[in-house]
Amino acid sequence: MNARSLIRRCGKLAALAAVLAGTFVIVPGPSAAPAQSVLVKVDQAHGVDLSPDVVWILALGSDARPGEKIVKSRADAIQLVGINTKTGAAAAIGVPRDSYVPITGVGSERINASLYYGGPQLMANSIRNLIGIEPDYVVVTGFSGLINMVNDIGGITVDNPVAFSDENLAPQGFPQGRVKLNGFEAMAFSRTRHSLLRGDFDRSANQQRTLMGILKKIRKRHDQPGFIEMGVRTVIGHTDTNLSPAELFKLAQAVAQVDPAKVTDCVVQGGIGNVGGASVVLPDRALATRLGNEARKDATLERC
Amino acid sequence: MDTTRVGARAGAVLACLTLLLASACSGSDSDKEPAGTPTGSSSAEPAALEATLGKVEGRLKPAAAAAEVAAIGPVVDGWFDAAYVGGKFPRTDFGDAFPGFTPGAVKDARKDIALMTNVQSGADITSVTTDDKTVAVDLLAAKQKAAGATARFTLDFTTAGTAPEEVRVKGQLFLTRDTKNRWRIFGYNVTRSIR
Repeated sequence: MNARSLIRRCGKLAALAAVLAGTFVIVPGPSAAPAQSVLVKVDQAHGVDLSPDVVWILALGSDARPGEKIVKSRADAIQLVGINTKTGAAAAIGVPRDSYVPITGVGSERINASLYYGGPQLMANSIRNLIGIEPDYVVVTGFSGLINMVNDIGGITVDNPVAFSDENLAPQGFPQGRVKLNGFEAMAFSRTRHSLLRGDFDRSANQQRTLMGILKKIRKRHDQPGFIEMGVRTVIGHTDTNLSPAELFKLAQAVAQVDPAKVTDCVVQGGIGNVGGASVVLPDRALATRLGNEARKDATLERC
Repeated sequence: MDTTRVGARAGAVLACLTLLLASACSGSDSDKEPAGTPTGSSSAEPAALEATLGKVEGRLKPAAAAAEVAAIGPVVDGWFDAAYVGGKFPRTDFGDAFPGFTPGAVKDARKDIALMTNVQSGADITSVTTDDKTVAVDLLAAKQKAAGATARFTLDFTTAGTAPEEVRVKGQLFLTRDTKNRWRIFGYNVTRSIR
C-alpha cells in the first residue's frame, strides 16, 4: 500500500488497550491434585493484523486558537511515533517545533509552519525529509482535544525530572517526581517552554512523558468492557478524519498492543541559531537520520 | 445491559447464518469456516456457546446488535472447535485451526500456535470435553452499523489421555468485517492456563 495514500487527518486519537502482561498468578489446583495452591504460568499470545507491521503515526499538537482550523495552523508538538504491532514495542522521536528546515514549495522555515502551508501532508513530507520515515498516519489534535482525551481516561501520571512552572499556564507549577495531571494540566505540562532549561528540547521530552502517561493509563483500563469502542467513538465524534470507523478500530487496537516497558524515545537535538532576527533550532540532521534508521524496522531506539 | 443469548433454540438460525457466510468462501485458510466439528473420539456432549451482548458504543438498534452477536458467535465458536475442542483425537494436524481469521492474523496465530491451539498435547489426547464456553461482544457502531467488535471469551475444556488437563483459554478477539461483509478476526489477546 502506498504510504502516502495512508496519510490521514485526524483531530483526536483516544484509543484503547488490551494485552495482559505476561504474569504469574496463583490459582486453585485441579480437584484431583492434593496441593493447596499452585503457582502457574499463564501463557499469553497477542497480535494484530495491520499492515505494515510497524505503523508510523505523526502526532501533532496544533496551536490553533478557538475558531481556527487545527490543520491550518502551526504545530506546537511534533512527535513521530512508531508502533510495532508484532512485538508491542514503540518509539517516539520528538522534533523541536522551531527546527529550521527546508519545506517543499515554501523554502527554509521552522518545521511547524509546514502544517500551516500544506496541512498534514506537507508536515509529513517535512518529517520524512528530516528523519527519513514517511508517516502512515497523521493525527492532529488541538488544545481542547488533548484536554478532553486526558479527562476522558481519568487523568494521567507523569514522571517529571525537574520542577518547573509557567506564569500563565501553570502558576502552581509541577513538582519533581510523579505528578498526577488532569486534562488542562497535561496540556500545560506539554506546552510550557520558557521556564525549561533547554527550552524546546525539554518541552519535546515532556510531550513524550505525556504520551507515556496516556499510554499507561490506557493499559490500566484496557480490560474494561467497551473501553476501546468508547475511545474510537470519541474519535469519530470529534475528529476530522477520512478513516472509516473500522480502520480507526483496527488502528486503535494496534495502539493498544504497545507495552509501556518497550517504549523508547529520543528528541532530535541541535543548536540554537538566528534567522532574520528570530531564534530557531538548527537540528542535528545526522542524528535525525540515525534515529530514523534505527527505529524504522522495529520501532526501537537503542540510544539517543 | 442488553443481552442476547445464543443457545440451542437459536442454533438453527446460527447454522443458517454460518452456512450462508460459508457459501461465499474461497481458497485461503482464513476463509474456511469451522472445520472442527466434533467427531470420532472427540467430545461427548459439547457445551453450547453462550453469546451475549456486552457494551455498545454508538447508536445501534437492539435487534441489529443481537444480529451481530448471532453472527460473531459462530466465528468465535469456529475457532474454538478448529483449534481446541473439535476434530478427531489424538490429533496432530492443526493446519486449519484458524477459520474466521484474516490472512495476517492467521500468520500471527501460527507463530503462537502452541497457545492458540491444542497442538502441544494433541497427540496425547484421546478426547476433549467442552465444559463451558462464553463470549460477550462489545460493539462499535457508526451510522447505525456495527463497524468493529471485541469478543471477550472464556473456553473451558477437559482433555483425557496420558496427561489429562482442565484447561481455560481466555481473552479477547478483535473483529471487523471483510470485503464480503463477514466478521473476521484481525487480532487477539489470549491466555491459556490450567484450571
